[in-house]
Amino acid sequence: MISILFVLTLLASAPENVTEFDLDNGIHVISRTVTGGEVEGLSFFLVGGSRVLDEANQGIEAFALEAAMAGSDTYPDERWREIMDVTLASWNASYNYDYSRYHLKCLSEDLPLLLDGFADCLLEPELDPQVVERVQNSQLVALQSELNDPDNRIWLVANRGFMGAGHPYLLRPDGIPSTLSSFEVEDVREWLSGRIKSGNILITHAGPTPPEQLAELLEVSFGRIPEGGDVIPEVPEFGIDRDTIITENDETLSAYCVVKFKAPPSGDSDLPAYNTACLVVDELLWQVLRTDNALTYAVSGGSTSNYQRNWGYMYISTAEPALSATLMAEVFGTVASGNADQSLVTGVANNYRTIKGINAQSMDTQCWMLGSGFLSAGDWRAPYLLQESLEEMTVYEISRALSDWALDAGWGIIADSTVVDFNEFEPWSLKGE
Amino acid sequence: MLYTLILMLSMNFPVVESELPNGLDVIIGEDHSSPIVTVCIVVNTGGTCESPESNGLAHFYEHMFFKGNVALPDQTAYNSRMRELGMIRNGTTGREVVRYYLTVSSDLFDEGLEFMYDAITGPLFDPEEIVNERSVIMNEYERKTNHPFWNLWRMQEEVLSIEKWRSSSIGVPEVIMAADQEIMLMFQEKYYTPDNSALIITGDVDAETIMPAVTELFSQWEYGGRSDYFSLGLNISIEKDTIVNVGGPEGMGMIRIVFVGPSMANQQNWTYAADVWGQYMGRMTGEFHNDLVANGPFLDVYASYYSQRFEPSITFGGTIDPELIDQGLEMMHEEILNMFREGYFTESGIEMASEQLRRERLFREESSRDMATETFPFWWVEGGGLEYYNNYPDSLAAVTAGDISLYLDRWVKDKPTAVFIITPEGEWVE
Repeated sequence: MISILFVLTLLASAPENVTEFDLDNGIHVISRTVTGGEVEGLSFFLVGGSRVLDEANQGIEAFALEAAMAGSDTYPDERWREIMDVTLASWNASYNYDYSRYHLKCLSEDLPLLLDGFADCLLEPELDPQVVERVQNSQLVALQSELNDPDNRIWLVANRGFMGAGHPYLLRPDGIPSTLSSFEVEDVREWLSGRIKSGNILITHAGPTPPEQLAELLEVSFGRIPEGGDVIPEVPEFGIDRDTIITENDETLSAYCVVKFKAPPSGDSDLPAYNTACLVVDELLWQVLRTDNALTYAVSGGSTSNYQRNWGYMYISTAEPALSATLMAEVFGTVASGNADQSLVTGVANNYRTIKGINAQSMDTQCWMLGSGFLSAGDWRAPYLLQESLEEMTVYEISRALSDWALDAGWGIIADSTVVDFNEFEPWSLKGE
Repeated sequence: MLYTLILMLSMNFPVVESELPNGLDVIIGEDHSSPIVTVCIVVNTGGTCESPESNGLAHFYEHMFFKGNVALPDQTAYNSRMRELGMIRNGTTGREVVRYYLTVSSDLFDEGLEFMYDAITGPLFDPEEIVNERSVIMNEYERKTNHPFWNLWRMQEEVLSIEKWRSSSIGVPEVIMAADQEIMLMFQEKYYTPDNSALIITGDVDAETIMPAVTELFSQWEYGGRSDYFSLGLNISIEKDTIVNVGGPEGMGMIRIVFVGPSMANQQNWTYAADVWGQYMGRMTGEFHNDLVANGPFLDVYASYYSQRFEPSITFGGTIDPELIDQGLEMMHEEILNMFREGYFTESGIEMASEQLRRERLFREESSRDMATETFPFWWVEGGGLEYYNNYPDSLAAVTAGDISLYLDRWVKDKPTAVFIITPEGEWVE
């Protein structure tokens, strides 16, 4: 029996027409009904991420899901490709530290067929060796390309000092070349049979299909997934206990610099103020580093809010990394010491209001917001309600949150040592010392 | 004279188009699904309007757009105003189009509209700001050089362009570092005029209600009549078969075989068959994909026509293990020849391709903000107005196998090609 719980939206910022229900096997579903269009979005979340990986199998889940989605026993490769041709459905996968997300975008009329195929691929994947090899090679090419670009690599360089040896978030959800190239068909099959269990899964939906109809469709497709699930370990705190810097030499015209610092975990009451503080840092970085000093084209600050363990960051690409890092630490200090203007805080709230409106136009983003809110804070409303807390935020609150949490700084710099003097680099303190 | 034309009633939201007496096209799409409104200005300009001496300055102009202006000269006050409005904004410079857009809550529409008006009509081009921005853009340039396909882009400019500076929007360092107020004003006078631009508004607005305010404000923008955009010549030419091996990222091999395609400026009749053909070739159950990917050495393949006024191209390409490049190139050539075989293009396949294009349009219409910032600007420039886009579904539906054969005979058969091979050991590296 499917029991549907209709949620009454009492707070103005949370969207209306959101329904939560469980399939018979226990899979939780959150659906936002959006009428007026024909586009459906449906996200399949597989909870675990880096926490269920180890050194030798990092990347296996990303690889397994991509390989599985190439066809199933009922929908073999060519039949499945034909369905893709006829429906023009698209799939968008992302793999992060806490979960994998596989997202389907299609027209309403195709949803029944695609959901059936989607679940079938997960439960009875065809795993034709030739197709699996092609998926593997495609992923390797994408990974190599990403790692070749210092703009992507800099984040990993910063992680090495910040996260501390042995932290699960050092394991790459999309793998590393050596692990990715070692996986075989049997590894995929074994991984899927262990992980595709109802207790590991959350489904979110946004689109015109009403919840009663969606529930029926999901029961006959994803309702076939066996019960059970993994015990997913808690994420330990990041290991950083002093300011650190990791450098990497690369013949690049622009240097890249990232610093990471601790943030409140999901569900912590300091998180909204901390997130706001980092967005104010972002505004000031643009003003100081780009507008006033012309040191960069790309500079930003921010924080994560949807992981079990979160972090704040500042990023820049520049020809002058040492000077830039000094100014970044000063900007951080301005906000942490309570010297930022209240209008910056108000501006963050205003921007967020607009972004929320932009997000409402995308079924994909709606699915992501519903799912990430539920998985990180236990309530899908969390990202929507953030606006209300932002509107009342003060400079004092954000400075307190930032200075309480962001203590030690993990810096990473990629630069050309023939152009930039690496002796100028030091782990710039964010503690205002 | 003011006229209004109802457009695209089949879309998710109604769109109206008007033209103000000063020549400005005004396109308004009403989408009440979310309480935001997006305002976009699109201008017929870009890298293609540059000379060797101004290579990169169309893009430089874009950087100066969201700077102080006559209404808000102080940059700090300008930034503060953007925060007050909760404005999300950006600008992009392409080869053939420049666009600026902002999104605000719909209750701040009037303020957002005025902000855009001041930005487009009253830039200051403060000399001190220009000097600062040179370094900012140089960092953007340096970042681009790290891109895995930087060498490919550069080589494509060398091989395909008649005037290579018209292909490169980012430009060259010596011109970027010499940019000054005078040349910014020259760009403004020539291209930033209402008769060379369109104002696109989509979101939670009522067209009839906002039109008087839009008309009153933007009618003050002075007619120019000085743009040479529509008289610029084609900037792609492949006189003889050419093959170049370009350096690329580790572990990746790529093949691109390029032909000159029909121009959106004056050969639009060919473009419908071109698009249906590209979609036909992209089918995952089609021969092209089956032979080269499902049963061949490629990881992925594509065949497409790029709708452009000045550099239209037809490209066959794919990703492949660098060790298999020679085999892949031979197979790709065989597939191109294969297209001329009797019966290669079936009516059912063409029907599917047309249906795919219809669906693609529905997917694009999911977000009216994306329509304002991407779809409408692109087609307004390339089609020379929105009529092309408006009539597009009917034109596609009329394409037959015979039309595709004629298109291939005219643009591909026995035509010279430029072949780009991208391998980690590629010989050409900038």
